[in-house]
Formats: sequence, C-alpha cells, structure tokens
Amino acid sequence: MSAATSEASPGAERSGSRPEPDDVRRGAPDLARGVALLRPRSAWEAVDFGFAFARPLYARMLVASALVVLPISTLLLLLRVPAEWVALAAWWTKPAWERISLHVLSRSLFGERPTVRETLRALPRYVRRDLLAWLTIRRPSPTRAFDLPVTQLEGASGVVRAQRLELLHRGRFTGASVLLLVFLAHLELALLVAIALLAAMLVPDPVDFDVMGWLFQLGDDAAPGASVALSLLSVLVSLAVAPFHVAGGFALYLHRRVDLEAWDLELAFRRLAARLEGRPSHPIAQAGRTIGVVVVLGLALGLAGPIPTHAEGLDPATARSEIAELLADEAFHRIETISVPRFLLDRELDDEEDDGPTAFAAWLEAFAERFAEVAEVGLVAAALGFLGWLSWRILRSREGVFGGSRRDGRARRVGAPRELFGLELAEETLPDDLAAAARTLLARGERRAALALLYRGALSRAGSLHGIQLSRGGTERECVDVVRAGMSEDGGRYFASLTDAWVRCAYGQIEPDPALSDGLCGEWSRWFAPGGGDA
Amino acid sequence: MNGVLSPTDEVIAARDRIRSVREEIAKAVIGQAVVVDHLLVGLLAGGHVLIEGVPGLGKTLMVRALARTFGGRFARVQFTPDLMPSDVTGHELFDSTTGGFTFRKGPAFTNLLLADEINRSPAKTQAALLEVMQERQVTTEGRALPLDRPFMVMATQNPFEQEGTYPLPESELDRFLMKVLVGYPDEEDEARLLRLVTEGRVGSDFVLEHVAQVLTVEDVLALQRVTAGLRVDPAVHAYAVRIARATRDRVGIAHGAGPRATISLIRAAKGRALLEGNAFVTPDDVKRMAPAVLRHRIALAADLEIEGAPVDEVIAALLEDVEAPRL
Repeated sequence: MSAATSEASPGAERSGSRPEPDDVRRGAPDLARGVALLRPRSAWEAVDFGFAFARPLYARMLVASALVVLPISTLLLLLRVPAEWVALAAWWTKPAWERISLHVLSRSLFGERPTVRETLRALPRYVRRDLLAWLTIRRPSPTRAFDLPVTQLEGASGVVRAQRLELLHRGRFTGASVLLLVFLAHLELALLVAIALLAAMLVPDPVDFDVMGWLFQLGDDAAPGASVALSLLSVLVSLAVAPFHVAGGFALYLHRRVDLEAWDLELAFRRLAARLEGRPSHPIAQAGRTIGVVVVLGLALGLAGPIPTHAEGLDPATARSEIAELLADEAFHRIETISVPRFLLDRELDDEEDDGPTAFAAWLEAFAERFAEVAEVGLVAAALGFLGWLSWRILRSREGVFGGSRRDGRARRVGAPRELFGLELAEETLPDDLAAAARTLLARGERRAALALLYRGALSRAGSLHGIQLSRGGTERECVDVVRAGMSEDGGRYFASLTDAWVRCAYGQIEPDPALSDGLCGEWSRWFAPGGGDA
Repeated sequence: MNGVLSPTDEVIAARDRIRSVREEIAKAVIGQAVVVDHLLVGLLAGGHVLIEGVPGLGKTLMVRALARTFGGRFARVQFTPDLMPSDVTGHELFDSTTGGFTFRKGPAFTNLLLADEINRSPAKTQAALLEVMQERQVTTEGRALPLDRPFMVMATQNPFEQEGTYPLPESELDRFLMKVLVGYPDEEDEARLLRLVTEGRVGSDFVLEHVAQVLTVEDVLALQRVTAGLRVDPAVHAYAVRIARATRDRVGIAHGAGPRATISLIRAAKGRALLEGNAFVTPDDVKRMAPAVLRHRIALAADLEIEGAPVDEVIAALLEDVEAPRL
C-alpha cells in the first residue's frame, strides 16, 4: 500500500499540481489531485492504489456499513432467527451493503467526502438499483466489486449493463478482481480463526474454559450462545474486510476505464484548460462541491457531451497530417526501461526471433502448436476417461461389496426364476397336475420324492403365481418369511408346514407321518394351483 | 438319505436341558437373550467366545450365571498391561519343605475363564492364552498339564476405549469360535433389571442366588458329545465352504476367513441346531451363525475401513450373494 502512496507523486507531478503529502496520506484529493493520481497501472498496482485510497476513509465506511448491518442482525437474533441464518443473511446481502462503501469511495474520489449521516441518508437512492438481481442471479459473481460501479455509478442495467461489462471484462483486470475476492475471503476466514485464537490465548490458565471448542462446536452439541457469538463475529469480520474488497474492485474499475478511455488524460486536459482560462485550479471547491461532482461524474461516466475543440473544424486529411506531426513529437517517443524476470527459454526464443525466424523454427512452432492442440484433446479425453473409469470402479466396488443390496434389492432378486437354489423351477419341468403326481408318489411310498415335488412346485408357483421374489441367498426359513409376507395367513402357514416337513426330511432324514404327507398333498392345489386360494 | 432316523431321545432330552439352562440364566440376566444363546452355542460346540460391548452390560454376570447352572468352576482375570503369562497359566513355586518346585495352577485351570478386557494386555500375555485355548493344556517345565473339561474362554473387549490397548493378533482371534456383540438392553428389560437389582437389596451386586444348578459338568460334556454327533448333510458342508471362500474373493475384504472359519461355522451351526432341538443342521443354522463366526476373521479393505462400513453389513451382503442349498 505504501507503493501506491509513493507512486502518487509522479502522477501528481505530471498534472503540474503537486499534492501535499498530508493530502495524499489522507486520501482526500480534490478533483484535480484525485484524478491526478490516476494513471495506467498494472492490476495489482491498481488494487494497491484502491487499498491506499480506502485507508483514510475506512472508519466512515465501516461505521456506515455497521450502522445498517448490525441493527438488522441484532433484530433478527432478537426475533429468534437462528444465529447461523443471520450470519448467512449478512453474507448473502453483501452486494447491498457494500454499496455504502462504494458510495463513500466514489464521492471521495472527487473530493466530496460524504459524512456517515449523508451516506446513510442517500442509502435508499443507491441501494435499490438492480438489488433483486444482485441478491439472486448475480450473487455468485466472483467479479462483484469490479461490476458494482457499473450498476451503482453508471446506472446501467439490462442489455446496456451486459454490453458495458462485456467491454470492461475484456481487459486485464477481471482476473485480478476474482483473485481479490478469493484472497479477501481467505483473509476473512483467517481473521475469524485468529480472533477466536486470540480469545483462547487470553483465557488465563487456571480457568478451565475451552474457547475454541465452545465457539466452533456447532450442531446439536453447540453451547448456548456459542452460535450467536460465532455468527456475530463472522458478521463483524465481514464488515471489517468489505471496504477493502469494494475499494480494490473500484480501483480496478477506474483503471480499466483509464485504459479504455484515457480518462486520466481527459481530466488532465480539463485541468489544464481551466488553468489556462485563468480559473482557479480548484473550481469545484470554489463553485460548490455538489455541482462539481455532478459535472465531473457526468463527464466521467460519459453522460456529458463531447468537449468542443479546434479539431472540430478540421477535415480528415488535415487532421491526419496534424496527428502524424504530433506523434512525431519527442513526447510520444519516450522510452521507458522496465525490468521483469523472464524464463531463460523465453529469452533464447526472443534472441532467435531477433535474428529472424528460420525455416526450422517456423516448422517447430507449427509443430508445437499442432502438438499442443492434439495434446489438449488427448488430455481432455484422458481426463474424461479417467473420471469415467473412476466412477465405474467406485460403482463396481460398492456393488461388489454390498451386492447392490443397499440401493436396489430388486435387482438382486429373481421373480419366477427358471432355476433357483440349484432346483429346476421352470413351469415346464413341473407335472401338469402336480398334486396328483405327488399323490401317486405317496401311494408308491416315496414320501421324500413327493415332498420334494410339492416343495419345488410351491417355490416355482410362489414366483409365477403370487409374484413373490425369492433371494438366491435365502435359506428355507427365510423363504418362509418372504412367502408369508406375500400370501394370506393360511397360505403362509401351509408353506411353513410344507417347508418344515421338507427340511426335516431332507436334512434330518425324518420322513413325515403319512397323515401329514397326505394333508400337505391335498392342500397344495388350494394355494399353489392356478385358480387356488390366493391366486 | 438312505437310512431313516427319528430324533433320538438324547436330542430331545438335550434340548430340554438347554432350555432349563436358558431359563436359569434368564433369572439373573435380563434381556440379552441372543447373547446368552451365542454363549450356549459356544459351550455346546466346545468353542471360545469373544464378547465385545461397553462396560456394564452384564457380561461377567452372564458368565457367572452360566457357570452356576452346571456347577462349573469360574475364574475371572482382569487383563492389564502388566499382567504376566504366568498370572494366567500358573507358575512354579519353590517348596522349602520338599526342596523342590511345585506348580501352582493359575486361573486357566477352571471350566469357564472370563478374560476381562483381553486387549489391555500386551501380545506376550495374550499369546499365553493361545495354547490354553487351542490345546486346552498348559505346558510348564516340559510337562503338559491338561485343563479341566469343559473349558471355555470368554474374553471381553471394549469397542470404544482403544487408547492403551493391544489389538488381538489374527492368529488368536481365529481361536475364538465366535465374536458376539453385546448391545444395550431395551427399555422394558432395563426397567426389569433395575427392579431386580435395587428392590430390597443393599449395594448394586447382581442376584445370582436364584440361579439353580440344573446340570452337572458331566451333563455338559454329554451335551457337547450330542452336539458333535448331529447330522450334517454334505450340501450344508458345501454351503459353509462356499461362504468362507466367498470372503476371500470379495471386493472390499482385504483378508478373508481361513479354513478354521469353515470348521467353526459347522461347529456353531451344530450348537444352534441343538439349541433349536434339531438332530440335524440346516443351511439356516449356518447362515444364522455366520456373522458371529466371520466378523472377527475378516479384515475390510482400507477404503471401507475409512468409510466406516460395518463389517456385519458386508457379511450380510455376502450371505445374500452365496446361494443357499436345497436338497
């Protein structure tokens, strides 16, 4: 920031009106001095300029913003709005209350220096414009501070605003605006943690109170008051950092206009003209600050008409010759030597270029460009392929572990399967009249075979007739539970008896007594033949 | 499949005896029926049980009540970082009257050994249990001293306080037939427990005097023989093998279960079958016992560990994928 202050002097000298050091430090230049500070700068110099410009105005920006934000936040807290929501609201409405700082900065640039009272009194006028859009679709914009002057100071909206932003964003300041936001967001977070740490360090050892734990324990375990304290702290930190964000963005905006419209030169000419006409060098100070600011702002924002000059009477050919003559003047051939670090490779390439490009160099350049294009496509394809592969691996891993049972149990189940548990369950493998076939087996004394047929038929029909889906991993007991859930109580009870008889016979070699076998056989059709009980 | 057997009187009598043991334990241990059943399965199968649960859930009470039902001897060892192997197995003592050494038996010479918080002792002491659990004997000065029968180790560990603990090595974990998880009792059981312990009693000791001895040590040995003799169809054997092998190829499992898991599955399934009063083992018995038998024998892959996936959930999904047999 000191760089901006020190760099202000040469600019002022160029204007022919050297600012007093105190004035520069106060950052309260009048029209002549303030505009004299403007000159083409790099993006970061511009941000530095903005910070330096904001420092003397910081207190009034902070107080004015706090007088709006803090009472509303306190009111919301008193209305029992959760503290986290209050902090979120304060953060979300930044595009609204940051305009307060921008108002102070823009007025101060031209020497007006509005008081807190004046700033707040003017609040309804400048806060309303496009507010809804700024709090909704434009809220995520990373170039907020850079774009805000277009809305607030130029009054542009809709298509005009879009075209204006499109023009402004073409310059070299947009990236810096995004990085400014990123940097200050981190600064906010760091300040929040630092203040909490400071509080923790200031707690004397004998006092057994964990400030950090108390403060950052959110959710259900949060201590009473902790979320309020944390939210208020975050609001205060936002208030503290916001003026710098606005100032940085505003400075970028100003310097983009210097690039775009040679704004600094225009205002230097105005000053020069004023002096030559014998007017005081501080016309606005004398004629009334308000009028002056309006005129200058109008000029600055392109609202005023063109400045009449003697060039108006020239024909193009004469103008061209005069321009050529002017450009031939020594003043346009000043050579500045700037030292910047560069990669050795770039220097070597430059050296080669000095000698004129060889055929090989041209070929190499073409090859490198083509290779870069192919590599770019290849890299994108590889990245997409990698993402696809990764997704597939993750899905496969999850399904491999959980067999998909967590998400889609149906996919793993089999309805009316042809084969299950190693048993043939297809309809064509069953006799047409299964109960009669089982009775025949019973009559021949083959009770195990009869039970096996009944059980197999019941499993098959449970799927095909009752739509019950059985899992491949289901044991006999689990199948009973599933069938019971899908059939009537009596039907489920029958299936449980049949399963029990079959299990005892199959695994325990315990054949059911003839009465039970006959009963199971006789009742089978009622539950598992088409048109039976539950079918 | 050839001969036809009917349930023997021995199996029916065994089922009735086990039911009476259950009823007696239920007089002292309120709720935790599943855990008690697992303990009984462990006793019937002649295996050891690792019990995991927070303190105060009645693990010790459960074991003492079980010992009381068959008149068995019970010993409890609190495992601490400074516990020595000889504190468990016993040690040689110089006898000044005879001028020689005599062996003083440690707490391992009992029927039911409760190794409380086993993971608080270092590997050396834990390893002392290996021989005791696997060989059921203690070797000292070149002599092998057999332990009493039945012999069962019930080891407990606390799942939460992991600081200052020594996780059991896989070889020792594998010696446990099952790992049983003890959860909190439900509200009704907790209220009953409260009344039982506090009404008309001084202190908070649990009530064991109501637990009657319904079996003898010999009865338990006989029950173990009956359990061992239960019929297992080859298809059920194959099912147990399929389950154990599935753990080795499963995505998400770093180390699957070994052959001892297959053996344990069938032993535990036999215990459960007898508990149910069956003279034969069904796939259902195997599947029901699989989580307890497998959960301490498999290690989840790192990504699942990091994700905190419960091992029981992985086993449940695995069991759903392994086709159950039908005869």
